[in-house]
Formats: sequence, structure tokens, C-alpha cells
Amino acid sequence: MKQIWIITKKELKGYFDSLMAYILIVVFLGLSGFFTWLYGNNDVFFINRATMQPFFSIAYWTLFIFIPALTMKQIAEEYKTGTIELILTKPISDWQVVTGKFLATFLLIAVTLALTLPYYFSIASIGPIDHGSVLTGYLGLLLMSAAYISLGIFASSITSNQIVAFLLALIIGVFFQILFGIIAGAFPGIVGDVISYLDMQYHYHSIIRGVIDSKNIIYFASVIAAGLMASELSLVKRNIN
Amino acid sequence: MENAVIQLKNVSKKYGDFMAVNQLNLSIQQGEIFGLLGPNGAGKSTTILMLMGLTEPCDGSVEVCGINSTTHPIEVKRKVGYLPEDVGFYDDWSGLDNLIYTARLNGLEPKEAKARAAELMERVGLADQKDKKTGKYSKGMRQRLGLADVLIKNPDVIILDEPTTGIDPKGVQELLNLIVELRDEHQMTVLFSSHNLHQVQQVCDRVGIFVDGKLLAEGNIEELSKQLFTHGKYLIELGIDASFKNIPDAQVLENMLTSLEGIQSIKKEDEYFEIECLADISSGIAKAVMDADYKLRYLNKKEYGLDAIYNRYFEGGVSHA
Repeated sequence: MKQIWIITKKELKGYFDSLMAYILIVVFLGLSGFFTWLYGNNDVFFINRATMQPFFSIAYWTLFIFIPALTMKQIAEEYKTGTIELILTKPISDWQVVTGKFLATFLLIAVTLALTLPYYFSIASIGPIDHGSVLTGYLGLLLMSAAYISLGIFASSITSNQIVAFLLALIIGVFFQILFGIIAGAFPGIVGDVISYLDMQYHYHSIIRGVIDSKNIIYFASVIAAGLMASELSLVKRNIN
Repeated sequence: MENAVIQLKNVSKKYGDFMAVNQLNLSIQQGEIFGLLGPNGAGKSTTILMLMGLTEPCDGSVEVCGINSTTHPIEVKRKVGYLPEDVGFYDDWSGLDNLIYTARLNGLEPKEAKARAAELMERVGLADQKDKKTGKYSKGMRQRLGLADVLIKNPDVIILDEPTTGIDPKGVQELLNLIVELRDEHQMTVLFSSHNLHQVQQVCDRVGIFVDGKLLAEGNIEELSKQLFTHGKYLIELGIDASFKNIPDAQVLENMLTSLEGIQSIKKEDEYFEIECLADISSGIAKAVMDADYKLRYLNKKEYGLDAIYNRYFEGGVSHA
């Protein structure tokens, strides 16, 4: 665990040293704030109800774009600079490396989301708000972010080119975000059901509506685990080559 | 074999149809500097990867310090320091910060990591450059920092994979001296993989010659010379002037030379002699020429070194089968 935390701290430092963290926080807060409060269509004042739903909708799409930009350099950069050898020849496992990097990005997203809590307090002060759905909304964003982070790290683990890693993460994300939902409609019966189950929007919207179903939790946990394990496997394969 | 720190038994590794390492048996003792020689693709790097537990053998067993590298790679990595040909560091960090980070990954506590990193920067001659970003380091400085990184865990074994590539001659000499010093001071076992025969001959106690995944020969230079050059380690070429003697074909001298100790064979052609011998007896030969009252034209001694041994293997002098 100590080794994971050392890697996590190093990655977090890297985000802040390169200004990446500041850019993410400022742009995310700006965009989500604008669409939550000022957009004029579907914002809090337009709906005329104390709800965080506008925020959860825009945050979902913003993070979908931002996360590949955060994860693209995680492992690809280590390949490019040769530092992967420096790390992997130390007494740590591939799994610890992947987990450390995952946690760093996850913590950065968690901090960014925590900075939006004033939205919640502000909305709660102007009307009765469903505190449960706010809680599950944040939980949904954290789970969805974790899933995309693990997929992004996987994309970064199979190439030494950051741009390729970014595009690959985005393409994988598009399948989960949009395409599985559309493709599922073309397949009747059990095949359609299976593809539909892969659709992340379905599970996310279930959670932000305030329903914490084990089916949704298992879905997110599976995607996170699959992404991390695929990243680890990719590192092992790279070692061999 | 009881002090064998590195032990490979019948190790094979295949990538698809390509046999990278074929039935390798190798034993390296504590405090030994062992040179791995061979062309690209000979299996040296795969062997190193297996030693580090970074890839698994298809067959056989790999042990470092009595620990199985395949089943316990993390434990092995605690004991082994590895310096590759082109070591990577975080270029926007200082040398000291890079070293502190790797010290932490090696399990050192923050205070200990800082103290040890500073001490090692001094040891490898980078104390004045410790706060400079590694992106601005020369190749030689990076390799020195790499050596410091290797030493930060106090390893029992050091594996160096072409560590001197791209370093200037002075830097190479300093690095080689440092390696020998470390072995002498701490009885570390060193595996030195290189193409550079001169460097290997300079620092290694024994060498292993790799070709097509097989270890064709191993031993110290003298042993390998004996195996390959069965008539002796030295070849002495002698030219004399016998024109003024009553017996112009120098038969007398040949008889005298044959009686010298250590002579393995003599080839004579008029006034030219090619003498193979086990030891350097050139002074004895010169004396024999004088005693026999001939004039010495030239005396040229050639010692079969690692380059001659290597050439025998790679230029068809020795069967690979």
C-alpha cells in the first residue's frame, strides 16, 4: 500500500506541476457553473426547482472529455521517456503501478467535484432539495469517473504516444457513452440486453435518480476492474517485449 | 557452487517459434564480475529479464540469492539493482529528487531516502549537480545517476546492460573503476553485459559467450584461451639473420628453442619462426638467439585476448552446435 501511495503522490504532484490540475479545475468549474446557473435553458432558474440535475448532466459529459486528457500520459509518457524501466525494476508490482496512477487521477477528480459542493449548498439555500439524490449523483459521477480513468489508463498502457492514448480512450469511451445504447436497439432479445447492460448512461442515470441498485454498482466495479487488469496485462506484455 | 548468487538451470525461453534462450546453465559466485558477451539477439537481454523476474522462462529455473525469480520477482528486485543501456529519469526533476523517489519505491523511509540519495550523489561524483534537472544531464551523468539508483537499495547483485554506451572514454573508465571499487568494497556480484570486449576484459573475472540463445563458452580469459588455442596462449614471431653463419638455415637455434620450457610448437621457415607457448617466454627466446650467436631482427609477441576468443566464436572458428 505504501508503494501505491508513493506513486499516487508523485502523479498528483505531476498534475499540479504541469498546471494540468489547475486547468482541469478552472475549466470544469467554469463550464459546470455556467450550465448549472447561467445557460438559460435547463439551468436551475429555468427549471425553477432546487435540483442538482443540470449539474450532474453537464458534469457527466465534461468529465467524459476531460478524463482521457488526464490519463493519456500516465503510462505512455513512462514508455516514451524510458522511466517505465526505472519503476518496474523496483520492488513493486505492475498492479501497484497501475493502481497508484489510477488513484492519483481519481483523487484529482474527487477534489474537483468537492469544489462544486458550494453549488449544492447554494441550491439547498434557495429551496427544498432532495439530499439523497445529490448524494447518489455525486456517487454516480465518482463511479463513472473511476470507470473512464481505468479505461484511459489502459489506453495509455498500450502506446507510447499520448495523442494516440487520448484518442483511443475517447473512442473506447464513446462506445460506453453512446454506441452501446444505440447498438443495443438493433439487437432483439438477450444480445440486445447484454449490449444494453454495457451502456454507461443507463447505469449512471439510474444512480443519479437516487436508486442505488447492486446491478449498477456491479457494472461500474466490473468496468473499473477490467480496465485496471487490462492495463496490468498490457504492462506485463510490454515487459516481455 | 555453494556461494552461487545467480543460478540458472536448463533455462529456455521461446517467443513464438524463436528460441531466445536455449537450455542455459549458468552459475555466478558472490563477489564475481561476470561478463555476458554476444551479438544483438543472442539472448543476453532475455536472460537479464528472466533474472529480474520481468519475464518467465518456458523451462528451467532461475534463482538469484537463493530466491526463485519467476515465483518471487518482488523479493528478487529487492536484492538486484539494474542499470540499462539508456536509463530513463524524470527530466523535469533534479537528480536528487529522482533518486529520492526511487529510494522511496525501494522501501526507504523519507528521511533515510534523502540521506542515502545525497550520500550516493557524492559517491558517484554528482554532488555538485544534484539540484540540476536530469533533462540537462549529459549521457555520462545520467549513467552515473543510474548507478546511484542501482546502489540506493544496497543490492547484493548489480546487473549492467551495456552501461557504457555513448559515454566518453574518460567517463567509461571512471564508471568501470567505480564498478570494480564497489565489488571490492561490498563484495557485490556484478553481471556486466556488453559488446565492448576491451571493457569486459578489463573488469570481468569470468565471461560467458552467448550465440543464438546458447552459452557457448564460459570461464576466465585464460581458460577460454586454453580451450580455443590449444597450442598456447602466446604466439611469438621471431626473425633472425643467419646469413653469416656456417649453418644458414638456423637449425641449431630451432634445437635450442625446443628445449625451452613452455614451448608448445615451433614453425620454421628459413629465418622466420612462429612459436606458440603457454607463458610469455620472449626474453628466454631472445637469450637463446644471442647464445646461439644469431642476430635478432625482430621479436613480436601476440597474446590471445578476449577479442581473439570472441572472433574465434563469431567468425566460424568454433562450431556453434
